[in-house]
Amino acid sequence: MRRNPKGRLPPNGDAREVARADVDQELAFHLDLMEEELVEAGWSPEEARVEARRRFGDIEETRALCARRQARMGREERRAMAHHDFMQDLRHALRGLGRAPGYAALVMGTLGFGIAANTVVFSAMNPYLLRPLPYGHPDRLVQVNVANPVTGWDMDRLSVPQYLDWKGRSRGFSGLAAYNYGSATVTGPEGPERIQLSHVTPDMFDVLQMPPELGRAFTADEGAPGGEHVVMMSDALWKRRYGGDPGILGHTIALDGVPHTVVGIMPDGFNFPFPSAKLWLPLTLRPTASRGPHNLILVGRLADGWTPERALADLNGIHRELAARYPDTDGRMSGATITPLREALNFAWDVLSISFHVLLGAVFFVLLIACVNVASLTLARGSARAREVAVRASLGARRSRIVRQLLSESLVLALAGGAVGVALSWWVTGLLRPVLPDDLYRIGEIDIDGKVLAFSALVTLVTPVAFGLLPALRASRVNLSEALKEGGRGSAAAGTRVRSALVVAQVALAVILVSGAGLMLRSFSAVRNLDLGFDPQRVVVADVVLPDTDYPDPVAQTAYVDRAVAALARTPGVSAAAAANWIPLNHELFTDQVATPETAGTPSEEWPLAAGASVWPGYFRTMGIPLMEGRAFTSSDGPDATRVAVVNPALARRLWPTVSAVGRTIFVGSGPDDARTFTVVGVVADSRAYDLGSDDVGQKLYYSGLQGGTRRYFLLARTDREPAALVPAVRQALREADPDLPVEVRPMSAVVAEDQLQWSIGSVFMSGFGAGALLLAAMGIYGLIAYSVAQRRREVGVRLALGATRGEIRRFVMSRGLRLTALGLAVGLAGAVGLGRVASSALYGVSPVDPPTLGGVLALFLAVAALASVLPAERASRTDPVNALRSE
Amino acid sequence: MTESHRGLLPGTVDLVILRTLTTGPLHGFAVSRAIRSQSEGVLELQDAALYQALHRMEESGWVEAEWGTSEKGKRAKFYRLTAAGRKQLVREERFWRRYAAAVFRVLDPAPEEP
Repeated sequence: MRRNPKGRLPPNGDAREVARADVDQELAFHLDLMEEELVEAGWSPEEARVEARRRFGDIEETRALCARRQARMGREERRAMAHHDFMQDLRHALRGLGRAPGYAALVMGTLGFGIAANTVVFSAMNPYLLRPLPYGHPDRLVQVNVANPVTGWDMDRLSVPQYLDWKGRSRGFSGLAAYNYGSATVTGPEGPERIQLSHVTPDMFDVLQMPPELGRAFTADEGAPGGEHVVMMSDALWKRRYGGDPGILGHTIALDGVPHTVVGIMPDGFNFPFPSAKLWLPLTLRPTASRGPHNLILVGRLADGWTPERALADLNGIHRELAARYPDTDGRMSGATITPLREALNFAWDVLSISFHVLLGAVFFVLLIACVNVASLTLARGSARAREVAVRASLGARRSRIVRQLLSESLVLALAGGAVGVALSWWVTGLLRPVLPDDLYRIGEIDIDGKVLAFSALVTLVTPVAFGLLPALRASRVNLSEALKEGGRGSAAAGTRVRSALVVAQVALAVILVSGAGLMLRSFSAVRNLDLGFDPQRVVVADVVLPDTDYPDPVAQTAYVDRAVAALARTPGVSAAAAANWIPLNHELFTDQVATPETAGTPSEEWPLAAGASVWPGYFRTMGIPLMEGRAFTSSDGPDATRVAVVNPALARRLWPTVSAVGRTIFVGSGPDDARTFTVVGVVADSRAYDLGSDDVGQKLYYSGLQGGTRRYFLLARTDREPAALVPAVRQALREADPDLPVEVRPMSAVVAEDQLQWSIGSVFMSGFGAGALLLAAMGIYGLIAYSVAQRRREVGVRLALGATRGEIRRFVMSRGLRLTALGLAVGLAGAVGLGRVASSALYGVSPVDPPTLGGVLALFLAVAALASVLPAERASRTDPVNALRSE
Repeated sequence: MTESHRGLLPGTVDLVILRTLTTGPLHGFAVSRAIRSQSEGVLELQDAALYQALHRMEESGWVEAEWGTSEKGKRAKFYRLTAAGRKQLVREERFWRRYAAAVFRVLDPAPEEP
């Protein structure tokens, strides 16, 4: 029953019981008065009792009705009260946190850091590695290639007859389309522009399950020989170049001077086979084409019920039959390969997935550190509040109420920390967007990944609540008199033990992260200091493709390059200019098989491989590749002169281990009969050719560019100033050579920087994570030492009173901080070495057990621990023993 | 005459109860006696109906209940008119005055204009 007017409901009472009791009391009061009135009027007490009830009417019905209403009202009131309590808890939590701003800021910052690190890494990796292809049922799409045992390349291409045979015989695909890619110069009133394009078989759009957004896809006869010149266009190109005018359908545009009818527009986001491909042309399949030259890549959609493995086995069966029938072509390949299309389209898949897995590991540790840090802070806060809780409990506060109050503080912090994390994620993701290279394969943009954000927020937010709950429960059960007497020291000792373990864990995790950052920085520095064998600084490179219509033969092609090189050489600031059909570190390699007259008799499969490049006179000087023996190419090495070649020492050693290469004859080709003969005139230094990854620079063979033409050239200029400043001048010079030819100009250092990307990105991320982890660990050590010093004030006082010197006290406190750190360091360094071995493929030029890195980490953490302990140690040593002993 | 015959017309119960509460907080018994005395014994509300109405109006927020002490020192539940109750009273009163006037006009038709 209620004691006070409009009072609180008993905490656990059933609202209905309370209501019934209330109604009974109210009705009993009424009947009492009624009886009194009747007795006064002369009724006997017994008769009055009966009469009062008779006059009242249906008592039972009234009782039930009123009780039901009261119960309903009670429940509403209880809800209102719960709301009131919640608001009170919230105010209480905010006030409490306001009194401990350092704690609040630390927890919020830690949570924000943990959430943001995860979200940013996943958000940045999403478009490159995780997001599915934007086609229909993309998980069923695979790329099909052949493996070439000579080059070791397992994504080699197929010839037209091979493709037709595979397509006709394989059963594992509901569709098997083919493509290759290139570029064309588009001319017209909109100006000349070189545009990347892809030739696709007409069934490609069916295989990808991507219909055009406007117009139509190719018809089967458009892929047949003699088909119409038709083209499909990307939404982006259509909007940018043609103003999004649907009238373009049915009209022609000129590609390399040949009119093509636009038949369809592909929707925004269609990025096959890479985002910069903006035009698609039907791939013409001539069944009579030679079986040898191969330039088709196949895309298949797995048939229902077929796994990639089964489809591969089926293809290999076909391959074996064909290899027996065509030993010179199919027989030279070792078999089919199948790669998920998502992976195959991304050229940088391998490099990126290594980086991604390293970063994945790193953010996992960041998340752990954040959780450990928050746990440790929350535990400390909980012990600090043990006394407050005891006081409240002694004043009669209910246990559930106290727990709720402690928890509400954790919840407020968790939510605020979550907000910090979201804000930080937005900010850093925004910073990243312009930094990441544009020409890497990606699907969509870098956007905040909602799922990861939610996941990391959940994980980190649960931590303060869980660890807030533990001390809250313990504190609420605390033995009141003891807690009040001892100031919560009994439970604090246990809390300190747990916190010590947490600090050790935190240091260990931070050591792993900082070591990882150190190894990554060392890798990056090794990559940057790598001797490439050429000098990429102060070189500008321009990329041109000569259209067949204007440059139909080698004479016209070399004439253009001559003009362009001369124009470049005249440009002020250019000290040397040259051209080549290939540049180093551009992820391209043209391999030839070579032999000497002495070894030419061996089977041609056994002829060694050399990466070939046609270069202009002056190339070695422009690229800064030193001449070691003989001579470089000159303008007299023209088409009518003796065919000459320059080799690198790696190739010279392989072919002529004992004698000088200069003056020797070399065969290039696929057999003694169709080999071309060259005379070696010089040897130039080894240089990196394909990428930075392997230590092997490879065997290199240079031809005189004047002795043969091609369509694609790199024009090179060595500058005497910052190359970026000369990009406009280079563009202007090339316009003199051909005003209608689109060119792409960039500093050679940008090409190299792309190769260094794996380590430059890795260093940036890992340094950020490492720095954050180090900071958190330092705060963890400081927090624990400062706390335990405060807890042990009395003990310190006793020691001082018993004659301990202040120096001893200082050392006592410091040694504790250093001991914990040393323990964490031991665990962390062991972990760092172990994980370093696992992730060694992500390192460059450093061993996972790199003494400078590990030594540096050791010194760094000891210094940080000393620094973090020095302040509390100083404070402890200045304890006034009299005060300390009196205060409790 | 039995009590039920002196019962209130449907729709007038709330009006009468709310009107009695305008003088100040009353417990249920006092409300019942106030109705009887103010109507000079003509109107009487059955107690069961009175309490059901009071609790209904409490839930509607027209009246507010509070436990207090009666004149004789016993615990009793007092009802007080809320602002919403006052508004409801004005509405009901206006309706009944118009209704009664209309009924009277029917009973005493005005002489027709020649």
